[in-house]
Amino acid sequence: MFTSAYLGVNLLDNLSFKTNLGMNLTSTREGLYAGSQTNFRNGAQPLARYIAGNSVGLNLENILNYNFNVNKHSFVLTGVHSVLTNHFESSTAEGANQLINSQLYYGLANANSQVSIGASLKESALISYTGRLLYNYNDKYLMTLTARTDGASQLSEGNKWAFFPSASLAWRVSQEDFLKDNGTISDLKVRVSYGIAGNSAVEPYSTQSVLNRVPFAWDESAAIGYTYAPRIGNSDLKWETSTTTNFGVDFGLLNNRITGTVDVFTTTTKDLLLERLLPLSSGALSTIENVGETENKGIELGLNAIAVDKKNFKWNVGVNWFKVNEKIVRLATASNDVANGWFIGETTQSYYDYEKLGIWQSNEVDAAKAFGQNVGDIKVKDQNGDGKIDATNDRVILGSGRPSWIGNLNNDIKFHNFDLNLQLFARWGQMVRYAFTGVYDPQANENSLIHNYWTPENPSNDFPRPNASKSQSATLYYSSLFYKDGSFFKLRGATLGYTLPKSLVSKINASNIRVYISGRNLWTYSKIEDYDPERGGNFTNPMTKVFVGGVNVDF
Amino acid sequence: MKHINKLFVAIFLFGSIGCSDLLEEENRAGLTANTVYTSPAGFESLVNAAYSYTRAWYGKEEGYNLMEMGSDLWYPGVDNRRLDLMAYSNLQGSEAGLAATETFLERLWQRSYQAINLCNTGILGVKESGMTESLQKTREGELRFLRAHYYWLLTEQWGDVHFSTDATITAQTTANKTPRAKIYEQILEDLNFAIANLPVTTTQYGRATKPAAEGFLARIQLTLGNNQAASTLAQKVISDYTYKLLPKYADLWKMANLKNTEVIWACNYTSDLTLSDLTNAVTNPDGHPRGGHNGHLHFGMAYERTATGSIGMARDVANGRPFVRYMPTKFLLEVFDETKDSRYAGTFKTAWICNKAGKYKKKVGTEEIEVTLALGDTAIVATKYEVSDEVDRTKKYLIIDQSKMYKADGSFNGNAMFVPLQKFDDPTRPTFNEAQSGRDAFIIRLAEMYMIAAEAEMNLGNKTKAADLINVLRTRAALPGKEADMQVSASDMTIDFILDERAREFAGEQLRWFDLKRTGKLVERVKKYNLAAVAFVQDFHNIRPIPQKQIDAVTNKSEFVQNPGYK
Repeated sequence: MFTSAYLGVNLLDNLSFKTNLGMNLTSTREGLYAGSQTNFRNGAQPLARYIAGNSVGLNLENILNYNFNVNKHSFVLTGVHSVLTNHFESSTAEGANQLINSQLYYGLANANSQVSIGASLKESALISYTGRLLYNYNDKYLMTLTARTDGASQLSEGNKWAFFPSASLAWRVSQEDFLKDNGTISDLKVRVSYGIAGNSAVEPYSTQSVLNRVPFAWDESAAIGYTYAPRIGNSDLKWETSTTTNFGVDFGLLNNRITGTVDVFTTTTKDLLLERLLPLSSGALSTIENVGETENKGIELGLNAIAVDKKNFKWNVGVNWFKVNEKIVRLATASNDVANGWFIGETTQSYYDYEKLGIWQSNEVDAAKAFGQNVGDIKVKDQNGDGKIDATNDRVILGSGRPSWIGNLNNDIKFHNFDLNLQLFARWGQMVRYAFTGVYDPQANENSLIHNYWTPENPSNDFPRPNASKSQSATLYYSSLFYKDGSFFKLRGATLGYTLPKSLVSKINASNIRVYISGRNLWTYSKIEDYDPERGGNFTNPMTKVFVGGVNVDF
Repeated sequence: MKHINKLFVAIFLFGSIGCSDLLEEENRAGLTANTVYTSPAGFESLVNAAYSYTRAWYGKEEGYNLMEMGSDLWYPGVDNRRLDLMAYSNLQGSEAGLAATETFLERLWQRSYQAINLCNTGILGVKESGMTESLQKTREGELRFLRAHYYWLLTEQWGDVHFSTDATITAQTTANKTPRAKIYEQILEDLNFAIANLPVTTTQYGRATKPAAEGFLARIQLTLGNNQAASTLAQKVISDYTYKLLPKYADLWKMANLKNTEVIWACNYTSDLTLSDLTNAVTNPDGHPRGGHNGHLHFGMAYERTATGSIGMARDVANGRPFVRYMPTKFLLEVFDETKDSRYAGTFKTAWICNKAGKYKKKVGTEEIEVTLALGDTAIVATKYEVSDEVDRTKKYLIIDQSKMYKADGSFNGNAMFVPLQKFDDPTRPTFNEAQSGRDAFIIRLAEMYMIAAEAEMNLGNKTKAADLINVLRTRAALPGKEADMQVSASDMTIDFILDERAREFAGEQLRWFDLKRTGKLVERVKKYNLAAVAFVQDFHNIRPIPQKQIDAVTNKSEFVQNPGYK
């Protein structure tokens, strides 16, 4: 539920004050009942669980606005004070072996074993003070100067506050005399901006080493323990700051029948906030840390065109194209961080492993043997050519989870009473870790799906030979099988509608009737067979195709 | 006037929320070390948690694979998912790509260091616990006993490992490789402190006591080759306290006898599953994916699997839920003389009683015989001997005999149905698929003290004394009337005999791998009796590969390197 209230006062003619108060209330509940004969319980006692969550978000903004003009110079000065708070609390109740299945989780109070409860509270706050100057000369020259200082509760003492200035300049070239009445170039604006933005979006209490509950007992008497949670607190957390320089052009051509924008930008992010895996020998598994510095260089293009504009045939085309090159410039650790997949010069989502070349084939008996392997085993590249494969020298960066580019193509077509919308989407060049690969069981012991595995008669290069004495764990370099080119191109959405003729519609006193069918994820071109990589590699929750048919009736 | 009112409201709203108290984090539902471990009750929770990590090793597949398997006693069952650990094939530190239930090296490494960090925190902070001075000493003794145990597990498995007695307060990014000998110095210091400060008994079953520390130190001294100290300590535990061998070996494994006079220290599990260690997002966020004692799963054979030829059986609580992970080697079955030694019947299950009546097709050689089984009939018999087809044809029940299990050379022939270890069966679980058993895992029991003392005395040249000690166990193990036949003498005392006797006494009890390593017999015995591993096992396998995840995460990679032989 979202509610808001505001109070505005004009203190002077050109001085106003406004207070906005927004409140966002969310209430969630989750009830689960799993009977004994379910996959989840697998023959164990039935389990009931009830989780209730309640979140309160408050957003208060006090805005002071002052504007004045001097000839053609117009100024707007704004001061904003804002407070954003979040309070999320939840409780969980759980129990097993309740007497009557049909009561589902409503009968939780009758559970007679494994009864347990939990409660959690997460609170965070963000306070900021912002000053802004908007300057406008005759709608030709525009300038915005902003200075803000933000305080975030999640960050450590002494590092909670940071200052973020920014400035932008724009020139409406089309307002100049030499372009004013030009029909070919109907609009042209050139923009440049420079600014620093902050990110503090880490979980509350990331600065603290919290304790986890551990059930334990002496004999059958409870002796509950508390131990360190696997994630250790970092008392030195500070703001992640991104400095962006952006150059952009907005344009309209042929009386704005074609409009578009081009943006080129460079962002340098310092003190990047990420969860970092630690050596397990420290007793901790990970920590949230300001891990280093990245640089993003990108270009973004947008183009919208009215391709056909006739009485009974209209066709509007929109294109977006986006490309960002991310690379790590510096890491908190002097060297590359292999455990986290962070390498200088690479993206923050690198895949680092052995490079699979294929499967050792029947005519490679000796070559395989030299590496201590047999035909039918996985063949990986000996990167340093020392005649043996080891984790230190022969793992390489195989690819990145970041795409080379993302593109959108949107078509709106109206032809007589028909309307058609087609949304095409492409994400190209990213690597995914395709979890379904883990389903192949070389022991051939559990049910699986069809995999193209190697046999002497089927010299596949996809999967190693089945072998009752080789579990996945005993198959060298099994993890090298997981990495796939996740590029895809898809028809993300399509809608076909037909508006009934007015003569027909008026007979039932309606003003408009439209019937339509639409679908999502209708068709995908993917380099991974039978898989939509938009899911990112996971196969337990695949992308769904959705078909909807409907009628809109207006009276 | 109107204007002034509005102005007042505006200033009020502006001014009231300016304070930055909002930015102070309080964490009203969470707990931190500073607030918890500084009160007596809170410090008790630290000690409880320090014990809980024994559950990562004992009664778990991870523990069985590292402490019992890869030995002369076990072949992989058909459903074993870690054949690399079973046979030393293709061993590498990486467990990338494996399911969470299969990453054994990483989990045990991580759990042990979590435990040690907690022990270190407690040992350094016990003075701030607010406890009485005498209780402080006891709890510190327990924490030092536990730290010694976890370091013993780590250094025996992985050799020179990261060593620290500090509490981890902030993120650590390096690790050291401390020589095993240095780690043992700390283990000895900790155990001596424990012996000096722990009480002789406890009313809280599962806590460490003085004899537990002495018994464990005896094991350590034997490992270090300090035979006199090992023998003295072990015999002290035998004679100075009230421990007694149970009259019948088989009674050790009855669920009704979990707490018995022979147990010196056990990893405590509970039949109340809210106190078990299964992961639960709310009550145990960092738990185990299966939880409880799992031995009843792993050693079972596929008695109820018609696809592998079983007849007359459906899965039930009494017969268990077989995961078919571990099958005895031919050597393990044959090391027992069941005509005089009750431990064969006490260790293995050899008959299954029909719980699903009906007509079945029983395979004899290549032919199929139709048999009718009624409830209560014998449905399956498993034997280490060969049974001829002629005899087999006359029986209604299915016979799993030697040649069905083993080839002539001793390698396994079929590993779905075999003679399974039954020590850990638990017919008291609430449902037949319940993975969590409340069976406690015995970590140190009295019989081990006899074996430690015997081995130490033999090493010292006192073979008669060694035989006398072992005869105590063999007399208990003897079938009625066979006591005299079970006696051994000084001339029998060899290290191989000791290892055979330990196999008979402790099969499955998570000691075997350490025994073979201690006696320098790992490679020799695996090559002799474990034909699944014979092609792979080498000297360097006396130390495990360090988890690749650990190596990848350290910043001092040139110092903290993989153990020799692994890649």
